[in-house]
Amino acid sequence: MEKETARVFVVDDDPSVCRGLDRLIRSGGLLVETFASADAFLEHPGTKGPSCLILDIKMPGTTGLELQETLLSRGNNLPIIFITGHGDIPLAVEAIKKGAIDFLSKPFNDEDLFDAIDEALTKSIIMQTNRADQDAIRCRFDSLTKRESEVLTYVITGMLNKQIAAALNISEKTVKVHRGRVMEKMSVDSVAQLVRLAQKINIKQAKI
Amino acid sequence: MIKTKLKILFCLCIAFGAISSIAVFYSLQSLEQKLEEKKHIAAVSRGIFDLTILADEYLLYHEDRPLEQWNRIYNDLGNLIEDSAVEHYFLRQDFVGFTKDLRQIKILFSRLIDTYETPIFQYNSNLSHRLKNQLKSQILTKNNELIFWVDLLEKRSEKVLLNGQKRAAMIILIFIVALCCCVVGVIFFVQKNIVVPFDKLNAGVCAIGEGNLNICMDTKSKDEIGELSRAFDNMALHLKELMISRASLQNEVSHLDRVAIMGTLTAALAHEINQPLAAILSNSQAGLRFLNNRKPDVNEVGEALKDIVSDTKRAGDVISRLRRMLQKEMGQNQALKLCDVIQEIVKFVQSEIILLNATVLVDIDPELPLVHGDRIQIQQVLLNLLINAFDAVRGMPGQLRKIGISCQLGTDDTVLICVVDSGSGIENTRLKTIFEAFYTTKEKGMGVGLAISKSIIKQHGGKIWAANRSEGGAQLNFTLPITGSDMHGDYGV
Repeated sequence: MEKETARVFVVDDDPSVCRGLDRLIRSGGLLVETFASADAFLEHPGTKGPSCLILDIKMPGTTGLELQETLLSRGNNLPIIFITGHGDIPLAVEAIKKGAIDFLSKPFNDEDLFDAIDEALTKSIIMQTNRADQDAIRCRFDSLTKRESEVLTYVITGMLNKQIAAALNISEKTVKVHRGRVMEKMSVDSVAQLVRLAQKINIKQAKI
Repeated sequence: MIKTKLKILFCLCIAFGAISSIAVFYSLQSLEQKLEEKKHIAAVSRGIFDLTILADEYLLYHEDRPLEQWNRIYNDLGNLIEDSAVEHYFLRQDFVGFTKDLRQIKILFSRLIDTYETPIFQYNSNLSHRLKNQLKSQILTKNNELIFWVDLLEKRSEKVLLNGQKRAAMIILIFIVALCCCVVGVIFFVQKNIVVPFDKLNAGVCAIGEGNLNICMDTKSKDEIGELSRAFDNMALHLKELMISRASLQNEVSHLDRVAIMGTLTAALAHEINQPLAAILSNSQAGLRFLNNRKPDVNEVGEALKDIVSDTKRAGDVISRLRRMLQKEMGQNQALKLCDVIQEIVKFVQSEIILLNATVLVDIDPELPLVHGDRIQIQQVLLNLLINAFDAVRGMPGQLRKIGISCQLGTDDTVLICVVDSGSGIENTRLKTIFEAFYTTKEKGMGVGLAISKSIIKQHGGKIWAANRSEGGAQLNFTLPITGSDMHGDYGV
């Protein structure tokens, strides 16, 4: 369902290859946008739905690997599928190490391409979902007061209320009240869930 | 043969010289003789003349002095006549006659003197008078006769002398004319047998020096110069054969160089073909998918097929470019638009440029005139220079891999093409030697690329040279003649 708004970006300096890829991907029912150079792609504003990038490695000007570098440095985790007319193994290794989904040699079969696109889009969806989740959790966490967030860091260590009260130098009753509020604001039923949420947004446990 | 002819000529000249010298010598000698004779005769006639005057004087005045003088002169004359070695027969007779007459006069004189001196005559004055008169008249008559004959003799000897002079002059004239004829004959002989054949040989050698090997002298003469020119014809024929085989060898090496270039560009060429193949596969599979849709989209299939057609042609172009480069036969010289030629080559190596991550800047003057040459060979030169430029920048970091091709009007009806790179340049000591055959700094290189390029450019009548740029890197330049100028090389056979 979400795949309908999915979008595939193609960057290749060869116009014939671009046209061929455009047609092939459209024949698979996906939206596609082509760019003749890495710089042209960088000028394009991002898109909301799930997306992936099909990228030629050897291009005049900015190369495919350089574009990958740039996207990573911008924090853009767009899934990338590399295509090449050369089949260099070292380049492939480097690309995969940096997080590329796959590496295809021209001329590639449509099945292989669509498998890779599928994988990439799925990853994109997962990433987006994760991010959405994270955003929501973050939102909830930000709504906690200072004391409440402090208490949270102790709760996720698994300490009893009594121990937390001793550590924070407040009464056990106060701890109980805070704990209740935290659970409510974070929309969780158990400590285990709280721990999971905390992990998702990288909240560190308090030092015992 | 010429030697014998020369010897004969030489002998003839000597003979002529000897004969004419002798003739002249003899005629001059006879002339001298005649002159001597004339002097003698003049002396004799003068003497006789004096005698007659003295005789007259004596007869008139009866003095002793004239008689004494007469006797003296008579004696002298007698000696003179005896002394003269007169050759001429008639003159000798005359002289004999003179002597006789003079003796008679002497006798008459002595008789006359007797009449004066003898006493008999002193008494009979009538008798003595008659006798005296008789004697006087006899003497006078004899005198007159003498005078007449001497006159005649003088005239005759004058004539003889004149004849002699004329003869001598004629001989000398004939001698001079003959000498002139001889000289003309010698000049003619030398001209015909030596100068003309040598000039012909000289012209033949000069023609070969300028590259025209179709000379054939075809002399029929059997002498030494004829042999020389036949040997020369033979040599020209051999040279021609050598030139033909050399041209064909050069052609083969040039072909090998093109094969090597294509080998170097294999990866790039494969890439060039791979791109359209990938597009064709994508388009074909897209077409199949569109056909298999619930609602087959025929338009899309049509568009896909159109793209397949053009991509196939593109791949085919790469193959035909490759074929043209690899052809063995010599191309044709034609008027070329350098703009197109260079652009074609840049397209040819486009993949290599991308592979290297290099940038290539092309700067061609749009007003460039047409250039005369063989398209494939000039592209071969450009490819060689570009491959060298690629090798030069391969070791440089990414940003510094810059190559430039520029083309502008040069001096003296030529066009100047420059290929520059941002590599490390060429050692100054090697700027000339890089064009030598089998010079290479590459492990896998054959080393003939630049040597072949140099010979191609030379054949086109241009120049090629290398220089280092002040901003670093090397610059390879070559010139080509404009169509229609006189500079076309073509040391052709």
